[in-house]
Amino acid sequence: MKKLFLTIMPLFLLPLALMAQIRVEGTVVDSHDYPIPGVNVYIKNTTTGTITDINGVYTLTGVAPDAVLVFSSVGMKTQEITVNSRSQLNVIMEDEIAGLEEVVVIGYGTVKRRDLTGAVASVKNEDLTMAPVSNAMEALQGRVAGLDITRASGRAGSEPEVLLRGNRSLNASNAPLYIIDGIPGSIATINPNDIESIEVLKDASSTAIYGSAGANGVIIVTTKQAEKGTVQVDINSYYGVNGFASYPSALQGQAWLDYLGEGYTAAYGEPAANRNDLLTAYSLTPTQLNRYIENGQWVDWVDETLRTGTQQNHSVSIRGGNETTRAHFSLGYTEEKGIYKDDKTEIATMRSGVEHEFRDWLSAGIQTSLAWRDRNVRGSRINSAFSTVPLGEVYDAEGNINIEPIEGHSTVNLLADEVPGAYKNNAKQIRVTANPYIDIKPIKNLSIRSVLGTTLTTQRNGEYNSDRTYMKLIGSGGQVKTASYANSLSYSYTWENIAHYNFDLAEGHNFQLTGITSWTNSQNENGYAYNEGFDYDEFLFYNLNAGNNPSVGSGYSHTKKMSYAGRINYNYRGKYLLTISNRWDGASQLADKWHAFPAAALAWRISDEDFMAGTNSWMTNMKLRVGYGVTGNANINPYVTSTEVQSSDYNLTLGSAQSQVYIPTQAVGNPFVGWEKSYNTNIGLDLGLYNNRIEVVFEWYNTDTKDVLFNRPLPSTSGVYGPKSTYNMMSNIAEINNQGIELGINTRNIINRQFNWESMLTFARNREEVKSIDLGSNIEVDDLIALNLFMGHPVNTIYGYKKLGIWQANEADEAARYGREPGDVKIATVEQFDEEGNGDGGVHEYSANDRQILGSLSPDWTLGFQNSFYYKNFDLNIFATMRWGQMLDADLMGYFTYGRVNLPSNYDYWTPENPTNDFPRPNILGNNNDVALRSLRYVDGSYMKIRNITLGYTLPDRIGESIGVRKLRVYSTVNNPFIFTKSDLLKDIDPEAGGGDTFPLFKQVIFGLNLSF
Amino acid sequence: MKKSLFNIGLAALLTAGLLSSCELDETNYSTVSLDLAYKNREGFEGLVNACYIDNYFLYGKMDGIAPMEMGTDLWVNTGNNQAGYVLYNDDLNTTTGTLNVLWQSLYSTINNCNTVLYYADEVEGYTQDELNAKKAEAHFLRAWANFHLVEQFGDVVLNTQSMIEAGPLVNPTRNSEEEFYELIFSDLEFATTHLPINQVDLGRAARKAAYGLLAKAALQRTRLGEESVYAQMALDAAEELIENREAYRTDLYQSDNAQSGFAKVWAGENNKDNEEALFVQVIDHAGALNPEGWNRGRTRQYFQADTRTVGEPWGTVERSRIMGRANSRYYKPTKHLLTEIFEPREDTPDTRFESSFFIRYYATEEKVITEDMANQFDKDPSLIGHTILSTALKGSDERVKAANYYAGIGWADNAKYEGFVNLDEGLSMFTPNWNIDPAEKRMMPFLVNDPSDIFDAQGNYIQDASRREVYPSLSKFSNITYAYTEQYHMGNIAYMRLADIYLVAAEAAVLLNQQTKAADYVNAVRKRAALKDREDEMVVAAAEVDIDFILDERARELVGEQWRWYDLKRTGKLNSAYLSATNPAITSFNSELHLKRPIPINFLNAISNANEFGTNGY
Repeated sequence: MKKLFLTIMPLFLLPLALMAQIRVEGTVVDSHDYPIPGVNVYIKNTTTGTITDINGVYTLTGVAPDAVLVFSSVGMKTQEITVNSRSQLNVIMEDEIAGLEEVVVIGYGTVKRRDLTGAVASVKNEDLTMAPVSNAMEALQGRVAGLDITRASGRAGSEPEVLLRGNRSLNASNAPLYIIDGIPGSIATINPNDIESIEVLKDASSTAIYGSAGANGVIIVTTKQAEKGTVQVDINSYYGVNGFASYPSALQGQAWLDYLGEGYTAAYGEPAANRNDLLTAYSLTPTQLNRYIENGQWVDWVDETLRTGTQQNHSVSIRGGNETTRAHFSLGYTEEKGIYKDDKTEIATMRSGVEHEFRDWLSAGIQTSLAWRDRNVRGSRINSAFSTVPLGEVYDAEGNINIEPIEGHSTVNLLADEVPGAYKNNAKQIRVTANPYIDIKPIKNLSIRSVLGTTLTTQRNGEYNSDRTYMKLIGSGGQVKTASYANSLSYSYTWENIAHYNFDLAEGHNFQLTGITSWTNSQNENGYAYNEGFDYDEFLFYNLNAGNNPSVGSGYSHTKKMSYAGRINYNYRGKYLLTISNRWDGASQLADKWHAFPAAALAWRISDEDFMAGTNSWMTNMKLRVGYGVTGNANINPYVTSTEVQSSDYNLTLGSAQSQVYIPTQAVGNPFVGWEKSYNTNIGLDLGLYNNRIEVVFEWYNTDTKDVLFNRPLPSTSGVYGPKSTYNMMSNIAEINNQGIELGINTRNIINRQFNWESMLTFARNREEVKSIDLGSNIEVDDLIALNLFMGHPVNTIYGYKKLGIWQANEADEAARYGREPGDVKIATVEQFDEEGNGDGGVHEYSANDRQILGSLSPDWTLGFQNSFYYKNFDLNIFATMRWGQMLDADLMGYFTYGRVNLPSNYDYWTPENPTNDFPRPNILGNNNDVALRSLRYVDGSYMKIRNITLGYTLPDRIGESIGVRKLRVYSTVNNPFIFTKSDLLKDIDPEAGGGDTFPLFKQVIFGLNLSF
Repeated sequence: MKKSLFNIGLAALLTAGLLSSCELDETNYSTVSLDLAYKNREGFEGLVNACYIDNYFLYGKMDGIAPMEMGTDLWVNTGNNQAGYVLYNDDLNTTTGTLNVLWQSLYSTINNCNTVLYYADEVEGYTQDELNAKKAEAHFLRAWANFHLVEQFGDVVLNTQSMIEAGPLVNPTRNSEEEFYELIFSDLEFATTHLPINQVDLGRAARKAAYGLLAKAALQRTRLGEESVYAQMALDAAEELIENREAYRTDLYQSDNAQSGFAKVWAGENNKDNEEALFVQVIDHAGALNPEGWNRGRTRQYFQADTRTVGEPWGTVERSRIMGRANSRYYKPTKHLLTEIFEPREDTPDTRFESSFFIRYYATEEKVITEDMANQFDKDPSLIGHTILSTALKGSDERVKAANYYAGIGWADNAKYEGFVNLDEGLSMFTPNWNIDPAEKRMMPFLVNDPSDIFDAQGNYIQDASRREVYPSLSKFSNITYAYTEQYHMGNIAYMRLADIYLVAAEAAVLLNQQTKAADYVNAVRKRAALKDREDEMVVAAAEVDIDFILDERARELVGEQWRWYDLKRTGKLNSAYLSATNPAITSFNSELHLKRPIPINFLNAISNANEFGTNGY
């Protein structure tokens, strides 16, 4: 209350201030009594101010005797001191402790951290920009307990995958809702330097106010806004080099010949008589290959393909304002050149905003952004190295790519797409948002904001494939030049009205009421044009009418959503806090359109109770939070409620002209499809110890998601969409439970003037479990393999063959009982029973019946551990993440097939002399339908990774001040420097990417600069 | 109380004009409603057309070739692909991918036909006759799909209701094979009554297709008992067609002295409007208006000999427009097919072997016979240094050269360009089905593989990799006229031919003890297999014509046409004795199991009673 008093009082005193003015001076020091230069000192509610000099001294003239002076400095607690006619005011600044007074953004409002009732994590700009990223979400990796962020691909411009507290949905998106400055938006096109803070709303009591789409958590992004009375310019820039991709090469040289030889020996019982026989046995022509072997012309296709990429990001922003008008403007540019040639993304962004106060009760403003993305994409061919003869000449004598690296042989150069004119795939996107708003304060304590969020996205995808692309040269696709040009236009608007009303009912009883209406209308249109048979590469996709076999297409989709919501916040003396809210949502995609999403939360600041007085010396803060809420999810494609008729994807002519084909849509209409609902309970405990030098946040949660939406494949005997795809029906099919704990610990281990050491640890453990599966018509089953759903197991369960190892030479007799020989893969079997119930003890030929549950793609737990060291002006930050207990279904582990012409070099295969348990014995005549081979893909993917190490140096303030610089920091970051995997099979594979075989992750070295003045 | 408080607040906000926009109905411009589409003529006919699409995934495609043609006395496998169908080993199981395509293609057709029949009651704008003609197409195609379904999978689900009408059934039950045939015959009764005799679109089922299928299905039904009843049904249907063949617009090609009638069936110029075709897959060779566009006609490549590796030193090329591309080689002929079914003699009157197989392979590059080659292939040393001439086109235009390099345009194009050479001087591989005197063979300046070179004493292919991959390659589905690239061939494919129906009639006649009639039908087919002046040599006596003879005759006539597995199943030859005698590579045939295919795992995974439904024993 005192604070409120302090805030309001100057307003009443303002007239008095005009009467007499005095001069105030003083010295500002820190807790160790050292003077602090560069502290902002200004008279509250004015633009009059100064900064302290090198000795911490300031002087202000024209100060009203009852004015309030504000002292602020980065990293320090802001202080407000009433002058009280004093002419000498010395101030001791305190280090800012991750403060309880800090303002946290929540749904449709803000609260102080001390008044939070829900599970909300907050990340500030400093943490986002300490180690540079191109997508802001990457900077959150490991920093928010329960928010699992991975990058699945090393493709330039690829976006990280974000999952909060496990999978709740099957088909509806599991992606969280991003709210950018109050309006749903996309984080991908925001320059991280423009972000002031990111808040992660984890529990339903916080997210239910967003109703639908809040089920997967809400990530609120607040961009930097101007402040009154200051002008600030920020320049941020970094440049980085990407390389050292985690990817195995293919066998070459003697290792390759040994591999071929082993396959021959295994097949025919004796080594090949000579190399010619050996090559012939693999359908390789010795006369073609011999000279390359003899000349030692081996090719490492992985090495030839991968190159050093670069990444850079530059941004400049200017912010400032006066009493009535504030404005900000920023420009950003990001470029990523991938580790493949022609894999490149450029993003240019512009953001601006202006707000003007017309009257005390009326202000209005607009926030706009414009993002331009230009992206060249290409296919990955490096996995073809594992099926390519590692011989030949990659380049010809003139240095051009040699399409046929082995003269006369069908091997196609893996770099064929890089030949000028061969291939081009470019996407350009413009995304414009303009969010005008108006704020009205018609009566005291009531404020109403009406905001219109508009988004316009237009994209063009052009693709040109000459007749000499890699795929065409290897024979997939006709040898004809093809080109396509696709456009899309998405336009949507959200109109929201938000009313806040504050009042005190009696002493200490504070109420805040919030009412919301929201209407969203989103439409998408797209067009597609294709032609083929061009004469010239030079046309690319810009002269489609020069082809001879055109085809076209177009499409449209539309969704709408209407919502009403209300919320009551009640606060008794800051000790007891209560939030109750409800939201009614209607979504056009569903048959059962409307649903209510209530929520309530209670918080108790135990440390404020009198009986806790004895602990105040060491326990700064203790708060218990309990919340319950319901959220919904309707993030599915439209048009699933009724079966419609479309034209077929396939052309047909039964005679000479085209025969038009009209077929029912693949989505079989479900007239009962309704909301997916998540019922969440969250219990949280916040602790602050020793003046908040140790802060602990603990959360326990339980989420039951019912009526989970799933686009389930229908049994083919009832009807099937086509030879290769089933009909699907969007259904409310399952119940999934997620239960977990999250722990966040922030500690300041050492604080002194010269050296600071801070640590941050996040830990999250989530158990995900399918609780029921309902196929409709009251048919419940324990598992439905087609849906990969198994009762009592997580959503991303791996159901397959369990590898035990390799049958060893001394196990020949035992192996024979399973129809196997030494050197074959040994898997665990499942006992089979005959009609009389007699079991076979698990001894039988391996078959599909031996599949079992092996684990899950989701980790048992994740951990983030950050240590920051500050010595004088240097900062060092080491950040580690761990994901433990996850399985991988790794493409890169699945390349062992019999008789193939090459293998990844990290496969340790069995031979009589090398009795490994990793990979089976090569054999030209081996049976590739041996189901046991499929067990090789599954591997324990637990890992620990040093995510990044950053070393920075900040120019001392006194030097900066002398050259007019507020802040100057230079830094260098190393990303992904060290990876430790639990399984030694994962050599040369980064498990974060899930064992994918196309665009590997890489290491990165970055140099950067942060400059403010 | 709280709620009313909210409502007051909300009401105030709503007056801001929000009310007007809260309708939540969907707009969808890219589809139309079922009623609008299917109760009107355009949409209804579009649905009828949809019933034809699935067949494009079974003919000219691995997914149909393997289950319909393999696992018989005619073929063994090259490499491992589809070895389960060929050898009945554990490659054939519930997870086999091609199996799922087969299953889904058939049920897709059935469902589309059911939907046609469901909406036939409601569609407007037809006269009764017009409507019956469209319904008849659906009845025919449903019978076609059910015929394949019951023969491949046995007693599975007989579905007569559209998904639109009945919704998905997650706990399906089985129906007997007899029930399947009941529906097939009733569907065909409607089709033979109402299908037009003459369809404007060549690919649309006409009445001759319905009679053809009726004859074949009735004959196939004899394996389930009541042999004479169904043999008579088969004979009646076949004779209806044969006797009125001109009325039904079909006929056998007849021989002249330059070309046998059989050779005419496969000639490029007869491909697009083939007199013998009863039901045909029409391929658009000009604009690729086909399911999967240009990706058609790959049959030939699956049967191709190794022109890429073994043939390369002798001048053959991996990519040739006439032969296809030698990178997906799956099947090769058995010794039984080459030397027992076909007569292993150079100058037989029967042209069917040479009209069905490539046995001469030509060089596309000039090659000189080296000492290594001579030693390896047992050639006389005097041939060392002999030059095999290139038969590839020689164009002066750069673009033609490029086309030649990438597309591998072959010898047949030579006539159009300069540089024509005498084909004999460009012969690089020769694979007759008759044995050649070793001394003579030594002096032939090209690679020769006759049966004695490629088969061991048991009739298996020998191990020697340089020999075992050069054999006669099926040529029925290739002609240069419709070769699009070295991968794709844009010729039409006849699903069913009149010659087949002649042999059906013969087989039914044998079952009904009408030997003379049987011989007449067999001889009608045999005679036109020879040149006109040698027709008489083909005639067989009535006494010789029995089921086994007809079975061999069917192989000679129909090899590669995706009927063989049904023929063996019908005649009881799918047993280990017959298979091991004719195809010793098949060692694991089990008649308890292998007369039906496994139920695809994808289907079992999607139903709630998978264990009850069973896998057909796999």
